[in-house]
Amino acid sequence: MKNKLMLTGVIIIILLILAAVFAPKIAKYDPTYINIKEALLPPSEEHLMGTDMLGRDLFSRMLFGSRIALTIGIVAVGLAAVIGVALGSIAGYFGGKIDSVIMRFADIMLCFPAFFLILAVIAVVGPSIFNIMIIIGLTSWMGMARLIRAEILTLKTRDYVLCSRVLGASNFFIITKHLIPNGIGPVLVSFVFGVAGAILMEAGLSFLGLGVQPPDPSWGNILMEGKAVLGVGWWVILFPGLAILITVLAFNLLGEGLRDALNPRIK
Amino acid sequence: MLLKVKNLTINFKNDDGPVKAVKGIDFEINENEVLGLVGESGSGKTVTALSIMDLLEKKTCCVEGEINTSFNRVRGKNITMVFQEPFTSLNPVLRVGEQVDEVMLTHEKASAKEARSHTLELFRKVMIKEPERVYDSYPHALSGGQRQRVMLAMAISLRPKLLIADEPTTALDVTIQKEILELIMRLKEELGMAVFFITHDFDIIKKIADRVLVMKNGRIVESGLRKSVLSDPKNEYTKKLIDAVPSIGGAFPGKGKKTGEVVLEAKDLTKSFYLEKGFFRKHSSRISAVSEVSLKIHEGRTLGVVGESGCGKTTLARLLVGLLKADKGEVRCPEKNIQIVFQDPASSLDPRMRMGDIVLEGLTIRGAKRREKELVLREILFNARLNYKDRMKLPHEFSGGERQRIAIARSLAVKPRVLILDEPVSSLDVIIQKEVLGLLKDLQKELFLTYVFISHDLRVIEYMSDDVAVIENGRIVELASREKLYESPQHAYTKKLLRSVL
Amino acid sequence: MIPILFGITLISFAVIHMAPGKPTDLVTQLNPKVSMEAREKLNKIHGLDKPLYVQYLDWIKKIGRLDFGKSFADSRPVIDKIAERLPITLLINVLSIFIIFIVSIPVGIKSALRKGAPFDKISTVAVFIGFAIPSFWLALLLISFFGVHLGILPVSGIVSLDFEKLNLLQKIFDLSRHLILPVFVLSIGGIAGFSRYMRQSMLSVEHQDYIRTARAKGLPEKEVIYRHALKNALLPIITILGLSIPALLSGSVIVEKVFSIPGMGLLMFESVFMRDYNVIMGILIVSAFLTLLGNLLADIAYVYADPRIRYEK
Repeated sequence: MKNKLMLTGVIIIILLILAAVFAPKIAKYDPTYINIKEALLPPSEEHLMGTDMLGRDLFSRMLFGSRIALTIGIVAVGLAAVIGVALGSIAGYFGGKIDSVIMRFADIMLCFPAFFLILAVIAVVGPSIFNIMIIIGLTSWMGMARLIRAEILTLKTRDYVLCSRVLGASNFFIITKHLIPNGIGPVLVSFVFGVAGAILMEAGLSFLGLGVQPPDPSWGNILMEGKAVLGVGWWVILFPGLAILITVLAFNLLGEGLRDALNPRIK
Repeated sequence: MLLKVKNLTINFKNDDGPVKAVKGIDFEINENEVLGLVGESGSGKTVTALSIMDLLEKKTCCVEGEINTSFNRVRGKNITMVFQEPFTSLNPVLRVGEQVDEVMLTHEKASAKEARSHTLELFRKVMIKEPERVYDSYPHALSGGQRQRVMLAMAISLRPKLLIADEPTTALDVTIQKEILELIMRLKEELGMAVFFITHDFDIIKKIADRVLVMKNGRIVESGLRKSVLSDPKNEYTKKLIDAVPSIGGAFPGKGKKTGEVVLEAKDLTKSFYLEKGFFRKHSSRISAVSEVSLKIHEGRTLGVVGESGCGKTTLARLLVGLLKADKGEVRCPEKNIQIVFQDPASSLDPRMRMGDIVLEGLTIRGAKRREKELVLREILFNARLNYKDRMKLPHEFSGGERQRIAIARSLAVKPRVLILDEPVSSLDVIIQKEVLGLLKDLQKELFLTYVFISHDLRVIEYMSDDVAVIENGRIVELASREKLYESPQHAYTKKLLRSVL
Repeated sequence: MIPILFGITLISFAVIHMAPGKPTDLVTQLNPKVSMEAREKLNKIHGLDKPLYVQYLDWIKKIGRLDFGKSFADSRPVIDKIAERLPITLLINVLSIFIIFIVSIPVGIKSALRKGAPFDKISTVAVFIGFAIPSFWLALLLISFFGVHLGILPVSGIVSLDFEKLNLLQKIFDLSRHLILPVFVLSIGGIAGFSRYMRQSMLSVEHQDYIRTARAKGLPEKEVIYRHALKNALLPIITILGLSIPALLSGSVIVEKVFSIPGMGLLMFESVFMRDYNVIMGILIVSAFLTLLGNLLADIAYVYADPRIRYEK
């Protein structure tokens, strides 16, 4: 049953990636083309998901929205992973003062509620797709740093690492040959969950009007616009919400599956 | 007859189908006797005991056959059990006394006050010093031996008919082991109960059992009175098991001379550790692990280092190979070529590396050419009695003994002169233990190796060593040749250790 | 502790000074009539002409006196603005933690005990959905259903307009009616997460040796679960509670915005839109302090719950 769930997650993610990559081929309309005459049409053959209050084709906007969601999710968490793995491995492997400084820094960063910190930075640098990616990346590496540090702390006392050192291995050899291959699993899992989190974060920011700015279509800002037509255009609210839900669900399923696969003890 | 087991079969439901853990066994336990059940790990001993206790999870396994008792089988009251791991068998968040009280409270509907005084009485019976203090302690504040006494107090609370003891002394130090065994035997006499004693150690059987069952792969391969099984085993496997038990007096002299070249020397080695600061503790405390240890080892000889857990022998091993830096003193090794083999082969092999790569790691680090590595691999695998064909397998595909041979091969691949062996056979079953010890002996002769052999087991130490150092609290209390040490020990601690060997 | 407090102020300060130009530029840029002179004057008033580290030291001294400066928007002291908003945010967060606990712990225990049974399967599906559902979307759905469609629950604000005229009972009733939807939306992610943790924790405790010991003693199953397993299973939950406070606070921005609740989250949102830097800095620091306080409380609770740590003293 667990495997089936993970497989479902993987299939959804693949479909999403395909949709994002081929968005211009699939979409029948320009996602930013305004046609007030066709405003708020319910779903039909012409407009699979209907149109929004400016008469833009919702399906096309959703397709292009998936591009933004996935790009932001993957790039932001990728950045976080690079920072987290680098800092966490250094802290864990070398220990001592370096470790306390890095981890104390992470502790401090963790004291800020992520959303508040991100909003504060956005207030300063202004919202844009690029900024959002970087900001989410810079504010979400701490978990991964802690994970890889914890892994390395236990791995580096394993007998095979000690043996390797007795055999004359350099730090570089030990880190790349023993520690990272054996310790990367939890980071991978955390990466997948992180993408889900970042997609939710972007949607939330865009929903508040502080993320991706119109006319660029993001699931979050489509929802924001949908709020204005609450009660008249249910489809403008239904589809982006479902898209976020399903995407986040898919990444969470994949993450859960990966975790079980990497950690056979918990069944 | 107290208990009769008829055609007991236990299957575990696994992802890859059922696994037969116990395959139709029959036996009886008589009143007031000690029945010993011997077998190696995975032979089905514990599962058998748990099925008698009715403690197996119904969801994951299926028990067939009959278990009949002459008394009313009430778990915790007249049939009780003591487990192997004293450190995890008590609930960490409840006071020790409360946990013992529970037996009275559950089965006798006693008042809290009655239960408490009964528990304190029991604590005295199992020779716990300061019973009141222990009553109010949490388990982590007690030593392993004390915890096992608490477990025993719990088990004898309501004068059970049958006590099942599942390797109750295996996790304890030798001196404590002896005390606990004696305690169990005394309680058995006092309370007139039967004891079903499960162990992997024939030495314990020799000392306490009236009758013996030998178990292998879920079957009972031999049973009978202790004397007849020990002196005249019928089954091949039983013979092998008994032969494999190391015993005092089974030494195996090496070839090295006392006058040979000194290949490893330590002078005044001292090392302390600092305990990390706790949440509410400002100052860290210093613990000295090794103090002023000096030793000298001549080529081709084996120095045995013996001591109980926490005595500093592992720290000494790490100082000798340079994994730790000494606070004071120095290690001299002319050729700088010392390697080490650790206790747990499961943790000493990188689970993601192939066997061939593991063995050749030292050469890879030194940047050896592929052809050279290939040659060394064939030679070393042959020496370590490993199959060249298995070089692409991952560690988990090997048995415990094979893994330890892989670890030995890895160390030998870089052609060291000195090998530190840190409890190299302690986590292995006796038969495998004997094989590995034999291999080490052979390798020493073939390659003229020098060993520092660290162990808690005086029997294994005697088997392997030319000279023996006894360590207590980080200091060498006695260092002598094997004959001298075993025949006329000088230091009180050495005597105590030797007495505790059964 | 002190270094963390120090770090919090340093990062808050750094964030605001990351921007090219000065905070006062915004005020002055909007008005091209403001002369260079006036601009410099303004900078001087706010101390912006001094080197950064001096500005930081001045600022941190003020913070020591709880003086976060004045809001650019309405010139009121930042601390007053936060003080009037904070209780509302705390109220919905504390209620939410309470709801999370009373729902997720029993759910987690029950699904662990009946692993694989229908209840476990249904709750697992619910947990996954609860984890993935965007809170703002859920809020919109609830508003349109309960507020617009059924019209039985208020969808904005925290009290009705005629609140002052009500008697105490009516006041409590009115407040509760307003809080139902926001607290539910704020709790949903936590309920999902904690149910999962509780289930996992319970499952791992179930296989511990001391549980087997308890069974071997002949204890009834209920005692084994509630006396022996539960206490141990709850330990990690305490730590996770401490760690989840920032997430809850984060959530209050969206919830307060959607339901127009005048709490600290909404204040943050408004200040970000208006680039009211002093307020933003103030909220950032207050929220970090709250997290720190939460972690401290969780640590203390843990020390009392786990005798192994208590003994370290």
